[in-house]
Order: sequence, then structure tokens, then C-alpha cells
Amino acid sequence: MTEQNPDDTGVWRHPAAGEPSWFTPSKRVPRPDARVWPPPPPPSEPPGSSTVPIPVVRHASRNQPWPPPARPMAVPPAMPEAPAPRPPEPPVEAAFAPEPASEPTPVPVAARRRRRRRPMPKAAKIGIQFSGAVILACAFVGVRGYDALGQYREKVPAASERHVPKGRSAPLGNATWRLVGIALAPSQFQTPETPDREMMQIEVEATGLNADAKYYTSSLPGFYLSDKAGRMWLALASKTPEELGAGKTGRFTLMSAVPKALEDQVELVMWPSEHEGKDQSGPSLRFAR
Amino acid sequence: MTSAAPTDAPRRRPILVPVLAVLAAATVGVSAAFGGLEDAPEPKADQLGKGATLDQGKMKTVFEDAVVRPGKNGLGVPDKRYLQLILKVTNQTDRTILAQGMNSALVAVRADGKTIKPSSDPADFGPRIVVLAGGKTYGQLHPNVPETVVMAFELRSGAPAPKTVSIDAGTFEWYKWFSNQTHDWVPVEELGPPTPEDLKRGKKSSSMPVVAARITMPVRVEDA
Amino acid sequence: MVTHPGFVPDAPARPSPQGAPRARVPVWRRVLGAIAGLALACGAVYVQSLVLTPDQLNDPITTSGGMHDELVTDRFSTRVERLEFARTVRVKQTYTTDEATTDNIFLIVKVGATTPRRPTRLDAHLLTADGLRFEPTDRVAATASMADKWVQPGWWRSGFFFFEVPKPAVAGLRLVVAEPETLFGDTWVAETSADLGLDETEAERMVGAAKDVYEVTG
Repeated sequence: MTEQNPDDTGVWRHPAAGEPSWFTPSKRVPRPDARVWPPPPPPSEPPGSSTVPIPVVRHASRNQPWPPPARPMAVPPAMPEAPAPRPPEPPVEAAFAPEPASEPTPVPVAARRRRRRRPMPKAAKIGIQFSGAVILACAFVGVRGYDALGQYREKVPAASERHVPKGRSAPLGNATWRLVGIALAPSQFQTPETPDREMMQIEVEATGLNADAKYYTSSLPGFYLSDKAGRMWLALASKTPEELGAGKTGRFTLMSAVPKALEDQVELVMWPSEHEGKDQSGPSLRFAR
Repeated sequence: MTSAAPTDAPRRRPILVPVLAVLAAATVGVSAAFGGLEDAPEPKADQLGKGATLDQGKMKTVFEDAVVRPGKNGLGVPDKRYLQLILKVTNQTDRTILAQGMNSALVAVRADGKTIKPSSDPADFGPRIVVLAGGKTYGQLHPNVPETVVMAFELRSGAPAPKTVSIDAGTFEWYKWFSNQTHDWVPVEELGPPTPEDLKRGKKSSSMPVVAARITMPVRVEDA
Repeated sequence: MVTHPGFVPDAPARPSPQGAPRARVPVWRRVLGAIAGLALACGAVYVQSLVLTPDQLNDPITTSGGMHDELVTDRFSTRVERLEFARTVRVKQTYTTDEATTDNIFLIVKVGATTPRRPTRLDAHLLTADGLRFEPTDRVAATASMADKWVQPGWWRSGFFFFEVPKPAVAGLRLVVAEPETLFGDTWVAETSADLGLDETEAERMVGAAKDVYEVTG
């Protein structure tokens, strides 16, 4: 507060109209401060002229432990020339003060009861938190795994095997395929240094479905001999047809070494390309013997 | 707490702003006068000669010789002549690399000022680069094993043998790929003026390998 | 600044529950809680240091062992059967004989392999004690190498891998066998890593006893 004027709060003054702005390097003209607090008495309204009834809050602040007495501790120095009337109660105080002083706290207690239920047993609380953590972790791992599987399946499509009955043909890729026969290879192809193996000779007939079938003569489909357990043995071509095309039929002669014990139960499995055969992905044919 | 301005405060003149403005203008002016606003000169590549050793990051290279000789031992055919750059290369990575990798390590080769690598002919796959050992040619550079590497350029029949050859050698850095965060040895490059192909594609610049050193060697001529 | 009370009214405090006063937490429990929290935070930070880098994520899944051990992966099994050092490798083919020489030394590893389900081919490389990776040498014709042969289920197939190594790098070598790398590189590739049992003295002895010529057919 200033010494010059007891009414001066020093907080803010309304700039006079036409006052030069603050950065103008001109001398400021000091103006007399205006009293803003305590508010000056209403200029013309005589007491009792208000039409709004004002509730009586006389005893509210005395009997209650809360809200704390909000009466001013430091009252500004009494101003002899303008005795301020008592400032009106701030609305906040009035809101928290219970209106009837006689019944102190029944309503808040009931509200508390409703809000706070019996505390949960500690074990249950920890159990819930723990299971929540476990569920979240599982969900995280699961989502990531699902995503990785989706990406893998995009690269390597799931295998689907079609069983072809004996003597029948089935389409795969750009041709239809028919197993002519699987037999022991002639003795000159057998390898005496590995008596546990048997060389098999496989005859396969292919009929082109379209002109692209001609590529099978150079880049072979993936041929394998497979046992019931799903083990695979490479079947390499010893003879390929000269040409293959739409409607043309050619014969592949394949050689494959398999364990001696499996000689009469191995079946021919084929994929449309060597690459798919290596990955064992996508559609394939399994020929019954 | 503020108070009313004292009435007898001296009148202050705003002097700091003009002084700063003058100083700033003077700084810029002096910088401009002494060439401070011009582009920094390109860092000069080291000028090396025959027998010099250069650490290219991925490999250490000794520039041993430059010879013109007829082809033999798997390096061309006997009735043609080849300009052969003889290098001693030590693979400094942690795995076996191919000698063909020297193709990107030696950015450009000029014979008598005429660029022979990179070739202006797109059908030309560049020089043949081999490891020469025991009179045979191979392709591998094992880690930390120095090997003789020969880079062979075929000379046109009847063309005179060049007197000197100059090689622009680049370097490699251990680079982290942004896409998958893995590391690899990658040639150090910078943005340069656009090549005609890049201009066609609408690019304003193209990345060029940084030349770390320029090696100039005299060329010997050897007859079979 | 002195404000007239009521001009900026104090935020009214909520009534504190009178029936249930706030339970006092003993100091030792507060200290314990702080320590536990700190330990959890440190643990969380530490666990982050165990996260694999992208380079490590591309690393294969390795089955390790020694000489003659059968090293089993889901895709194939290998065992190192024999080691041989030589200064020259002679590859006899049907019509020609190819001789490879080196200033270093040739290491010939005989490896047996089989697969559980499907045919495959295998590649190998050497790892030195300080982590350098040596691919099989190209001085020996590839046809003589195991890399060229199919490994099938049901029986073991043996073959040679030829390496060219500097003599000082021989001690502590390991042989790593894996399926050939695909073009874009797969993740979680299976590999077997066999310690060749070459300590300093053994390495010196075997390099000293290296054959002048090692002859294979291929």
C-alpha cells in the first residue's frame, strides 16, 4: 500500500482515455489514485431499497468448527473520512455453511457411507492387480504373435495337400498331373555302397493346361517322395519331356533314394515349383500308389 | 508493489538498440568483406603416389603398381592388352568379402586424364577385379589377410598405353540402416550436382561418393 | 502483498472425516516402500538393457557342442567327424585334376549331417577366437564341397568343407553350419556351432603336421 493515499491499492488503475502508451519516452503524469477497496458506499441507494430478500447468516460462522471463521484478521486501517460498510459475505463461504446450525452432520456421514464401501481384503486386491498385469502381458504377446504369424503367412502360404486317387490326374499350376508308376530303379542306378537305401524310379505324366506349361521342362516342379510320417526325399528328374504346352502331354522320369524299409509305402508329393517345394507352402498333390 | 513513478526520474534515451544494430551490421559487413559469406572450399582430397597406403574403412589398400600387359592366368586373353592396377588389399571387416567390392572402393579411374571408370557405356560392367595368388585368380578376401588384388581394364587394340593413371579412392563407414536398424559397411557419399539420369527423374541433386584420396601412378608397360 | 481477506478467498478445505482418522503408516514401512519402489524402477531400467538390438534379432539360433557331438536343430543335425590341415588341396575330377595352393593353410573339415523331415543343403563358415568369419575358400572347386550335396532324412551324409586360414588364427576355431542364406535373409535361422578343439598346443601340433597334399575326389 502506498503512503500517499490510503485508498490506493496499487494493483491496477484504469488508464485514462488518451493516455500515452507505456513505451513512449515521455514523462508520466501522476494521477490521483481511486479507491477500489473497500468498495465505496453505494452512491444513491438508501438502505432498505433493495427488493431482493437477503438471508440471515448471522450465527453461521460462530457455532461451526468448519468452515473456519473467515472474518478478516487484518482489517485495513480505519478510514475516518469514509467508513466502509461491512463487505458482503463471499458466496463460497455461504455455500459450505450448513444452513441450520442445530443438526450438524447427518447428511455428510450418509454420503461417506455410500462412497466408501468396506475395504477390499488385501489378498484380493493384489490378486486382481496381478491377474490384470498377466492378462495385459498375454494380450500384448498374443497380438504381436498374431501379427508375426500374419506376416509369415503372407510370405509362406499355408500348405494344402490334395490327395489324388490311384491312376487319376489332378491339376496343379499350369498342367494336370498323373502318376504313372513308382518302382525300383534298374540295378545300374542302385548304389551298392549304401545298402540301406533303395533308388526308386517314378514316371509322371503331365498335360499342359496353357502355354506356360512349357516352362516345366526347364524349371521342374518340386517332386518328392514322402512317407506316412511326412518325411520327404528329393526326386530329381533323369528325363524331362522335350516340350509341353496347352493340351500336350509329356512324361517325366524321376529318381529318388529312399530308405529300404519304406520302399513300398512312399508316395509322390509335388509342388508347382521347386521353391514352393522347399518351403512346403501352398497347394500340393499327393498321389496314392 | 508498484508505486507512482517518481516525478524527478531522469529522462532515459533508448541507446542500446541502435548500438546493437550498428554492431550487427558491422559484423556482417566485415564478414562479407573478408569472404565469410562465401561457400567453404571443398576439402581437398589427399594426393598420393605409387606405393601409398590408404585406410578405406572396410579395407586397407596399398597402391602398388599400374602395368599394361597382355592377358594371362585368367586375367583376359593373351592377344589383348590390359591396364592392370595392382593393389594389396587387407579386408578390415569381420567376415570374408569379395574382391569385386573394390569396384565401389575405387570410385573413378582416369588414364592420361580420360575417365575409364565409371564407364560411359552402360553395357560395360566395369573392370574385372580378382585376387591373384599362385598364378591363379580367385574372388575372396578373408578378414585380416592381405591379398594382391588386380583391377584390369581392357585396352583397345592399337591404342597407345597410357602414361599415368589416377585413381579416386572412396571410403566406407559402418552405417546403420534406417529401415531395419541393422549395420553394414556403406560407401561415404555426399550430395553433388545431378547426373543426367537423375535430372530426368526430376531430382535436383544426386549422391556421389566422397573422394578421400587421389592416387596418381606412372604406368609401366610389360610385354609377355 | 497484503490482500484484503475475502478479496482472494482461501480455497475452503474439505471436511476431514472425523470418524476414521487417517491411519498412521510407520516410518519403517515407508522406507521399505521407497526401497521397493526404487528397486522396481531400477529393475525396469535394467531390463531395458537386455532388449536385443536389431542386429542381434537377426542372429541365428545356435546349438553348440564340440568335436564328434551330434548337434541337433529342428531343421538338421550335424557332427564334425574329422579335421585335417594341408598346404595343398588336390581335387580329382573325372578328367581333370585341380590343385589349390595358399600362403596360409587349408583346413579340411569332414562333417556328417542329416535332417529330420525334408531335404536340404548346408553351408558352413569358421569363426575365429576373436569373432572373424571365414567363408569356405573358393580356391577348392565347389563340386568337392559338402555345400553342393543334398542332406536327406533317414541317413547321415558326410562331406568336406575347405577353409583357408592364417596360421595364427587357427587356435580356438569353431565351425558353424547352417542352411544357405536366402536372398532377403531369414530370422531365427537354425545353426550348429562346433568347437573344433584347437587350443594353442593342439593348433600348433596340427598345423605342424599339415599334409603337403590332401587329395579328394569331386
